Amino acid sequence: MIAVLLSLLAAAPAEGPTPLRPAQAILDDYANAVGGLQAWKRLRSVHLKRALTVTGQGASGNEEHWATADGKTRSESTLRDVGTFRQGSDGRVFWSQDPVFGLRKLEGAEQEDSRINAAWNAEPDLASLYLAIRSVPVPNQTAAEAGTDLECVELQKKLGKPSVLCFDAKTHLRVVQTGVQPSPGGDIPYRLVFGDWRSVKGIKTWYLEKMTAGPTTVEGRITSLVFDEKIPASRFNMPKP
Amino acid sequence: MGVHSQFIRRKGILYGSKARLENVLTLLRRVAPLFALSLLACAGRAPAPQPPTATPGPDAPTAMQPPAFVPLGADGGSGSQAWHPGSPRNQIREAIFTGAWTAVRDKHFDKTLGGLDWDGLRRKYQPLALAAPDEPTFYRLLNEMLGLLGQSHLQVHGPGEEPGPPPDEIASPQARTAAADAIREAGDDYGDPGLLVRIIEGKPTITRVRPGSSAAGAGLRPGFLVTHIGGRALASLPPSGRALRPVEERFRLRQLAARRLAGPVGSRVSLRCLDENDRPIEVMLERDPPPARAIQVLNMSPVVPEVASRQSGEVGILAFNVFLLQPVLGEVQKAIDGFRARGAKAIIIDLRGNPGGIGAMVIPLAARLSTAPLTLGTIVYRDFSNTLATTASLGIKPFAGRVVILTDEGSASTSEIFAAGLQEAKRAFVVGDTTAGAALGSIIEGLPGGAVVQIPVADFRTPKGMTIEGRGVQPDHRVWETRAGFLAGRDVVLDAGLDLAKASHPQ
Repeated sequence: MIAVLLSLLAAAPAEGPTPLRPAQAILDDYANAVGGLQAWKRLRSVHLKRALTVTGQGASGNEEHWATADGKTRSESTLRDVGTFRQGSDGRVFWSQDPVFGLRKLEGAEQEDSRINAAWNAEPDLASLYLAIRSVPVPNQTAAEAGTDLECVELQKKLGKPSVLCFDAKTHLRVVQTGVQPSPGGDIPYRLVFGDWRSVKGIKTWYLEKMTAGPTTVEGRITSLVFDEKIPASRFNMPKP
Repeated sequence: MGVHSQFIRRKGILYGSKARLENVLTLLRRVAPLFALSLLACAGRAPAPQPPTATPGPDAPTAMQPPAFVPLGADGGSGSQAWHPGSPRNQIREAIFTGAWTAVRDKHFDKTLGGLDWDGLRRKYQPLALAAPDEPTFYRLLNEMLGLLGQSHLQVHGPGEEPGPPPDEIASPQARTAAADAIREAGDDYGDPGLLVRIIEGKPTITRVRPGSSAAGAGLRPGFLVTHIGGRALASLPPSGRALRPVEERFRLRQLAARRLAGPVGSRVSLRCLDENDRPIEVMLERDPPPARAIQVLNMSPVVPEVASRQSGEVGILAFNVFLLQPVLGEVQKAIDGFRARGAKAIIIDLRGNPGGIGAMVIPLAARLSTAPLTLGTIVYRDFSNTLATTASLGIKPFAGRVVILTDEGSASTSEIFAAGLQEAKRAFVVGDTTAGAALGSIIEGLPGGAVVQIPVADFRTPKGMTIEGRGVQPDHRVWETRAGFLAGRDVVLDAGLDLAKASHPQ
């Protein structure tokens, strides 16, 4: 009798956390889902426009962003009756200009974030982007809100705290990103949710994203996305004081 | 190299590239403006009309814009309509109540809500509010519940909240049309007769009259005591959910007077007061148009932003009525730069009656007034904190002379954060009266039915860890205003500020 019971126990599957897939495998699937590396390599520049809405607070505006494959970038976000917030890089100098902190050259963790955000698709820059990547369990809050199975990867920057990207386990598309944004006043936790994926010129990208920082959520919806537009180099120069 | 080649293992560390491909599309840059938005620190409603000083310079401040909300048509406040549980209007009430209750529960910076049984309070107040005989009672009950938290920046406003126009108020044809419509987006149709009423020596007193205004034309002068506006006595406040501090009572009566004085342009409002010899007089005042177009930022009440600057010898005097990144900040910065360029030795920043606004504006303003990095305090959110500190901005030449800040009971919220931060850093002297003690970071969210709820989402601590909420900024030099002073045409607070600005050894 005891032997029968023991054999029944042995036959029951061992319970425990599902092993995480390697980070590389998760990112490989994501790369394939968005069109693959070769599709991105064919593109040399991007110019996009977004409509911005501050959820529930009666504020709206727009964002315009330019970036080139050689690491130049500039973005301008304007919220009606609040002001225009700019950030950019000519590939060497990373700067920011806004009504609150004025015109600054970015340093430290802010510069590191800006550098990562400006990166395009250059193989030689791989080593300079993140210090390490690893698979991590899905954060509880993210799992509860996502409504779908997720796989998450933690990205550790050279400076600053890591961020966590979570992908849909079936479509392999990016769903949620959480992290901490450095600012002159300290780190600001944020949460990004992605949706409305569309294919453009052989790649797939999200047209809708919602960013929440503290009590405020801003929804950004792409209204125009143009690749390989000729963008003058002067566009990326740091504004004059 | 194939599609997997983007992953390179160097020295045992895996480098991934996929996140990078989308980096150019992410919104991480947008955290800065979000930070600015979440620092909306503005106490109460739009500022009261504030006519210029007794001796105005060429850029004296002029009237401000009244609150945006107007009573709904004939049935907005009379209570003549019965409230049925399933009626559309009751459904709106339920949605407003639930929206406000949920927003406080989910976004208030104190997750414990001061230890209150928030679910229990809903069970108690919701049926009372839904059964209220009229809109003013509905909002009073809802705000009474919110008032139990004992904080500023926590209230709900909506259509029908205020009682209808008083019986002796005469509406112009344009006003009747305006009153029947929904709230106008820019508030262009709202005006005031051009006087400021504050509590002086315990009594509602006219402290300023705008030159050329309806009030000036009626012979009203600073120092007159006001007893009734629109046929209603001004002596007491509507019931509050908690006991108010004396400065809060003065602040709220000031706001109440301003709301009663404001109304559609061209309409008229009665005023009863006592003149300089305590003789009773009654006048009918017409509401003048605002000096400029009102703007509405986020969900704040429409406001006519005003910046006034002038130089008196070596002292620059700068007054502005609200903290806004646009258009106020640019004009303020330009004024300070002008003072510096013209060799001013001191600047007086007049924040009397300034109820706050966008809290982030304190950073660039303080940066203009300090040659060294300055920490103004800490904003404590629900889940994180952020320090309000100036940074070195390229191309900025700060003003290095003496700074004096004028305050009164109407200086609230961002005004207090600014004054407290500079005072503790010993960068400015504060002159006047204790401030309102209403310094919390807040957001204003829309609710169904045109209502809005203001929720405190952040606490504020000075660099020394002090709170301003419930305490106010104590002036370095307290100035006692008197009726006699106003009757004599003096601005004793400004006079004290000028004395301090010019003193060789200020104390």
